[in-house]
Parts: sequence; C-alpha cells; structure tokens
Amino acid sequence: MLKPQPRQWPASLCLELERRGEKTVLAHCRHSGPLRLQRPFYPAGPGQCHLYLLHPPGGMVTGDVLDIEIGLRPGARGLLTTPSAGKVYRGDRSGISQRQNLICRVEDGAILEWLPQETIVFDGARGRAVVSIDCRGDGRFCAWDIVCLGRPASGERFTGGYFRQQLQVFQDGVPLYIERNRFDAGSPVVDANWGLRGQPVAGTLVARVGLTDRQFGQCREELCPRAAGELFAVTAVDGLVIGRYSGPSTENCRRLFTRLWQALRPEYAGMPAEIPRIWNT
Amino acid sequence: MTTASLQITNITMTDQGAVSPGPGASPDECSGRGSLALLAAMRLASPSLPVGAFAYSQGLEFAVEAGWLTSADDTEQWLRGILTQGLGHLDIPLLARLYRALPDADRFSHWNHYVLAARESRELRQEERQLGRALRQMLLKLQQPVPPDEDISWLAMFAWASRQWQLNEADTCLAFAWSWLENQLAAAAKSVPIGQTDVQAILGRSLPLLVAVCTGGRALADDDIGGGLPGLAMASILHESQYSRLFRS
Repeated sequence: MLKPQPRQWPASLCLELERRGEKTVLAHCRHSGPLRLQRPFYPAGPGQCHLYLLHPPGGMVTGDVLDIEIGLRPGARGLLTTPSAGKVYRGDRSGISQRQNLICRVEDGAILEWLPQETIVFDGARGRAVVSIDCRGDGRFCAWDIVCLGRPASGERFTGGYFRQQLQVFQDGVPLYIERNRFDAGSPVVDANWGLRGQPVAGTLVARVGLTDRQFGQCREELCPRAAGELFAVTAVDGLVIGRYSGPSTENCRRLFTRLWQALRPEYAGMPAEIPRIWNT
Repeated sequence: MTTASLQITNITMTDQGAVSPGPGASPDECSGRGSLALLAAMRLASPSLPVGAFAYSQGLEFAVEAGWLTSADDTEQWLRGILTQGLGHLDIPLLARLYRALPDADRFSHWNHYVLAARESRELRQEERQLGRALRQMLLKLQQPVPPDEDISWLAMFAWASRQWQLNEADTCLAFAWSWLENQLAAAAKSVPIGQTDVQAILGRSLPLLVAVCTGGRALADDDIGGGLPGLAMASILHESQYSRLFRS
C-alpha cells in the first residue's frame, strides 16, 4: 500500500542589504513559496531601512519549511520585523516537524535588528526554529526571540508535541552565544524552576554591544518585571548583552525587550530607537 | 601533543596508556590498568583539586533565595533535572567531543569556544574560565604539557587533563559528572541548607542516573546537543546582582 505523501509547502526568502552613499538599499531579493517582503521604507532617514516580513498563510503546518537568509553588506543598516505573531499549528499524525531557519550575515560596520513578534506554538505542534547570526569584523546586531507555548489567552496548555529552538551567534566563525532549547511537552522542563517554571512565555534578547559597567548597571536597574510569576534578567559578557524573560505574557516580554533595546540602541547604533509603526496597530 | 609517562614500581603506563606488569608482579596485583585508571579518575574528580570549584553555586544560591529550594527533596529534584537535561545534553556531549578532538588543536579549540558560548551568563562563563585557567596553571607547575590557548574552559581543561592522566572517555565523563554533583551538594549543604546524611542519600540514589546521563550524553548526535535550562540561566544572571551571597559571581 502506498503511504500518503506528507504535504510540503517550502518557502524561502533571500535578501541582501547594501550601503550606497548615505542610503541602505535592498540590493537583492529572491523568494519562492509563501514568503514576502514589503517594500522597504525609511522612517529614521536613508541610512537604515525598515523591512516587514510576511508569511501570508499565517502559520506553519506539518511539513512546512521556511528558509530565510538575510545578508547585510559592509555599512548597511536594516531593521526587520513581522506584522503579526508567527504560529506553529498542531501537527498531523505523520510526526513530521514544522521548521523555520533564519540565517543572517552581518558584515563589518553593518547593523542588523531582528525584532519579530512572538512565535505561538499550538498544543501538539512539532516545531523547530533556528536563528543564526554570523557577525564579521565590527558587525553589530540586536535580535530577540519570544516563544509562547500553548495559547494561555484561550486556556490552551502545551500538553503534546515539542518546540526545539536555537539561537546562535558567531563572531568571524567562532561561536559567541549558543542557546538550544528542547521544550518537550510532558517533560520536566515545562514546569521545573530550572526550565520554564510553569510559565508559557520565554524570551531571549541578544545584542552585540560593549557597555561600561556603569551603563550596564543603569540599564539593569531600570528594567524590573511587574507581574506575578515573572522573571527578567540581564547580563553582559564578551561584548554581548543578554536579556531573558520568563512569565505569563508575550506583551510584557515585548515591552521589557523594547525598553532594553531602546536603552542599548544609542550605544551600538549611535541613535535612538525608532519604534516600527506596525507594532502600534 | 606530548604526554608524560607514569612510572610506578610494578607497573609502567606508557604514552599510549598501555600497561604492562613489571617483573615479579603477581596477577592479582596487576589488574594494574584498572586500578591506576580508577585512581586517576578519583584524583581528577577530587574536591582537593586546587581549581576553586567550591566557590561557585551555578544558580543554586539564587534558587534558595527565590524560595525554589527549601528541602532535601527540592534539592534532589533540582539536581536530577539539571543532570538529565543540562549535563546529559550539553556538558557530557561536549566533554566527550573535547576528549575525542585531542590531539587535533583546531577541533579542540572549536569545542572549547562552543562551551564558553553555551554558558548563558557572565557568571557561568567566568566560572568556566577561572576553573579552566586554574587547572592549566596546575599542570604547568607540574611541568606537564598544557594547551596554548589561555582562554580555556573548565570542560576543555578537564578533557585535556584526563588525556594527560590516561583516563578513558567513559571514566572522564563519570569523573566530571560526579565532581559536578558533589560540588553542587556541597553548595546545597551550606545554602539550603541540607544535612550531611541528606547529601549522602542523594549521592547514593543518583549513581544510576550519573551512569545513564554519561552513557546517553556520549552517544548524542551533534544535532541533538543542547539542553537549555532557561530558569537556571536566569537564576545565574540574577545571582550576579543578588544582595547577599556566599558564592562568587
């Protein structure tokens, strides 16, 4: 008997940003399948372009693979975000996973900001997500990754499936930050205090920025979690600032990460943060 | 890599780790390879190794402050979780890779950087580096070869020293896991606190788990490396600014 073929809907997007004079331009953009890029725009002047990444199906089902490659050539500056939360839907019976891979290259003097909305992992999903950033020379970046297991707003807990998450940074090919999480439903990682502490939302912000002890101390003082059950922690090591959130709310996580980003931005980009308009809608 | 050779009255251990009984030794005395390997593992795992591991709690002190650990039971669950998810998916697989990488300097260096990158707080990286540096210094004083890179992790130096002292990979991993657990229990005894009998009971019950974690960890594929402990990472970061501390940050 023939087995039914798993449904596959691969999609890819490959883009290159280049500095031409004062302006950062989209020098190259190629896509296949359901992944799109909105026309770049420049709310903070020509040096930095804002880009919105769209995945029109709205979420990943079994067999979906999204491959995104972002290259910033020397001196280019780009802020990339998404207009809505990414979703990893409940998987089907095939056991095949749903995968998203984001590979970024940040060349000397370039600045990448990868500030997507959160990823919602539905109960029963089998998600794998990779964010990999390769910095060269004085390339800098600020990136965050926020995941919500289950849909707490509608009372859905994460009781089946898994989410495997990787966030890694390399400096000229040498590993600089490697976080690999295995959030398997039913495993102690979901409830244990060394794991997710029974909270649905976990987030990490990583930025390549050198701070003095005083700057870092101020930055840490200003950021305190408010809600019950929340933890927020910031550390600085090896030219990185790392912020972590664990708690009940993606919104609180985004608010804390936004404030941290606003505090760090003048240090690594020499100018204040410009909130992408789409976050307010 | 050059290795020193050990000379003992009745047994000679060569660079390759082969052991031959000396003249006049009876078969009973000369299960020599096993006995020497056991002693070398005990030496490497001993709290008397002057590297300062006792000064660090790896988030445990914050966990106590936060009220997560109030009893011997809490402590045991906490440690079993970290052993299974953390050591089993990260430390042991990386230690095994470092061990196998030698004497290839490039591969050894790659995994050394990987270890440092996988430590998610300033405090955890500082601990890796201080212990690594201390063990490197000790080998230098003993006039044994050391890796050229001074920015060396504890895990990498542990693999190096175990090669130096002719441990096999399995014993290296067991020695590491044992010394980790013993050190964490010493921290728990001071900060939770728990009693010496609790410590012994937990150690005893953990032996099968140590074996399972080491066996599983050594067999893990590259793609499966990495057992994130988000709560522990945050505990370690929050310990950096904790008001009153027994342990270093």
